[in-house]
Amino acid sequence: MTDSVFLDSIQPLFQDIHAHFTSQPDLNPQAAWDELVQSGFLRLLLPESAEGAGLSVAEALPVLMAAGYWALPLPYVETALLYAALPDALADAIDGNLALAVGTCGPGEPAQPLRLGLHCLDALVTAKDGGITVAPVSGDVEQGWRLQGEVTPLSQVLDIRLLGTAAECLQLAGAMQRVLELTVDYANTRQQFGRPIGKYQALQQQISVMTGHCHSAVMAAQLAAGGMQRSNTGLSLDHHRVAAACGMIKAACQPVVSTAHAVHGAIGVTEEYELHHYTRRLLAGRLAGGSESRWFEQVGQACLDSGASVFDFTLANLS
Amino acid sequence: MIPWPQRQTLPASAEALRSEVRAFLVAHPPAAAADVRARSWMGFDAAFSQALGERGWVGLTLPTQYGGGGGSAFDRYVILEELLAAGAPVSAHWIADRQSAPLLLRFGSDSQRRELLPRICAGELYFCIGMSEPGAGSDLASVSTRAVPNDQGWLLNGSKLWTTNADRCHYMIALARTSGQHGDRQQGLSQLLVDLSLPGITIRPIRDLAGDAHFNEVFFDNVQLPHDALIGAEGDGWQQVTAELAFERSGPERILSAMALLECWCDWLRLCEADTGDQRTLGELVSRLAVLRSLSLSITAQLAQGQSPVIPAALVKDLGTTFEQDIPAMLADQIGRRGGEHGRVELMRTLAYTSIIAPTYSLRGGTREILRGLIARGMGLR
Ligand SMILES: Cc1cc2nc3c(=O)[nH]c(=O)nc-3n(C[C@H](O)[C@H](O)[C@H](O)COP(=O)(O)OP(=O)(O)OC[C@H]3O[C@@H](n4cnc5c(N)ncnc54)[C@H](O)[C@@H]3O)c2cc1C
Repeated sequence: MTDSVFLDSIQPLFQDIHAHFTSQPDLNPQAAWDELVQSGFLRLLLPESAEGAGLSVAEALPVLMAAGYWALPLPYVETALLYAALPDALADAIDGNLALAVGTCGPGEPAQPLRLGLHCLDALVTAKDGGITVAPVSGDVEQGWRLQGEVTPLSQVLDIRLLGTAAECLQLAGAMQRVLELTVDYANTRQQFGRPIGKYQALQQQISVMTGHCHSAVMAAQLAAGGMQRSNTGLSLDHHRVAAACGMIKAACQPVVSTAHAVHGAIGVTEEYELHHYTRRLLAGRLAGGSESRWFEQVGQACLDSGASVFDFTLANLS
Repeated sequence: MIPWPQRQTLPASAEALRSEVRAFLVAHPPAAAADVRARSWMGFDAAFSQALGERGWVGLTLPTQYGGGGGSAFDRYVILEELLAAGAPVSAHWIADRQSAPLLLRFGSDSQRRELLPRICAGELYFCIGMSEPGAGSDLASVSTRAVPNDQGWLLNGSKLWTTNADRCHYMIALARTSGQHGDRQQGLSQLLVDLSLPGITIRPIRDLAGDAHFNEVFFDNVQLPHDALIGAEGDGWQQVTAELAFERSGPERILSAMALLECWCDWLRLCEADTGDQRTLGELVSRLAVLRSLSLSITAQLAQGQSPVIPAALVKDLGTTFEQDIPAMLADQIGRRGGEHGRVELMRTLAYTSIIAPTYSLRGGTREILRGLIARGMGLR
């Protein structure tokens, strides 16, 4: 988690988009996207030869998690990862700075990004018949998204669903960092019975457990990033490492949401207070691309199939 | 707020030790039966400890001038996790290696270091921790064992409880009141080196609920300690104990206690038809193991930099012991889901042992509630 230079330079924009989305709320999605394009950060993971910053996923992680921390309602992380994963196949999309996300788009069905609540989207990258396709879409967050134009098949091989799930999970880990901060701040500020509620042992113990979940999720995000190796021709995903990390992040979502709301009391369920932007995201994100059970099943099966001891499987694939 | 964890992978030099440890374990094989291996860090085997010492793997991180290996905390991590994952009997030298030797190195006098550390590193000299007492469990500052200065040194009276291996060790490092009154709490406490062969010491083993005797009660009746029994400065006992606990709380032993059961179950699953429920349970446990191990390594990196990450270590211990306790709890249901039919006696014996001993995982080294209190302090709530 180096290169906070990158984080420092993009954070003001993330924060500004966040403010327009949550407190003011007067977000203009296209304008916000254009500012992201201007910043050059869509190309964070592209090689320098393609006017990118050439970062590895691990190096870019603070920025990718910050998109979750600031509840960005735009597919920034999805787009940056897809550009990095398919730099040649998506050359046109990259030239056009298109907003991309992983999703599904069957004939006659609405186009469905894996992540709900996106305010801006130009095309979906979908898995189809063992291959990948790019489907241009139009629509908005209220009406949903529809196919708009020709679906283009790509010849590359990539586990697009795993990539989409990982893109979501890195952001969820960032969102959990924010939820923990909000919760601790609130517990230290809100007074009842003459003391800050954070002084009561019952809440301290709950917040300690929540802290454990959040720290696990943040470590899992680093494990996942370490399992996504970038080269100039694309991303290669260590399936087991990324799947296990996604499972752990997803498993943390529900308990983190429950404790955050419990500590906040009634204020936490108001539209005005920002907590719900995060807790809604965590609840939906847990499902996006499959809940923890889906990913744990795959990891468990891989462990059984390996024939190795649990410990050796962990060392070889998950360290 | 507690700083967010930073992933740290093992350096190649540490990773290279792994095959050496495995070769050593072929020559010194742990018990075959999984329910015996499940007792790994309660397994006391002096010959095994000495063989490890000969290999240079006890006191590995201590300076060579004291007989240590001059290795890194990461080297030690690899050796420990390999020994524990194999269920090797590490209990004899365990406490000396993990906390007494680093404590003596940091706070001990030069003569204490020169006399004790080389023998610890040889795997010959064993230590126990005399913190808990009948009236002082979680509330450690209320210890009432007392050492009164006299012309020969210190006169020790009182008792200790739950002292692991006291009956088989050479020395105890005891936390005792050396000045002030009983109610003074953290003030006036010191750590003392107690030669357990001295007159006036009575040690009674206590049998645990699984039938094993690893912990003891220890009575001190006018035990005369020499002047140089004092470790560090008089009155600094509390700070020293706190630093010591960072070593005690973050290692692979807080993750791997129930591995023998998990491995035994996984072997058995490969013989029967594993279904998606089994796969999910296994996948969850493996994924938690992976993240915990990364968290534990991130603490090791801080120890290696000379920091004392007391609160992050408490966080990892809380998560780790919860994981260790969830293994028997989840596997009992997973195995029993098939209607109580089960293929292997060994699996059921290991499950029974691990299930009944699992509550201790979150008691020893500080209870779950106490650790969560520390975490809350780290988060700025106390
Ligand atoms: C296998 C094993 C080996 C051990 N080995 C050693 C050893 O070698 N040396 C040694 O010194 N000790 C040893 N111990 C002792 C161990 O450190 C103590 O058991 C532990 O500190 C708890 O003390 P206690 O058992 O007296 O429980 P208590 O302190 O009486 O606690 C009982 C319950 O009350 C809770 N509680 C207590 N205070 C609070 C509070 N302020 N807030 C909320 N809850 C609270 C505890 O969390 C726990 O749930 C060992 C214990 C075990 C089980």
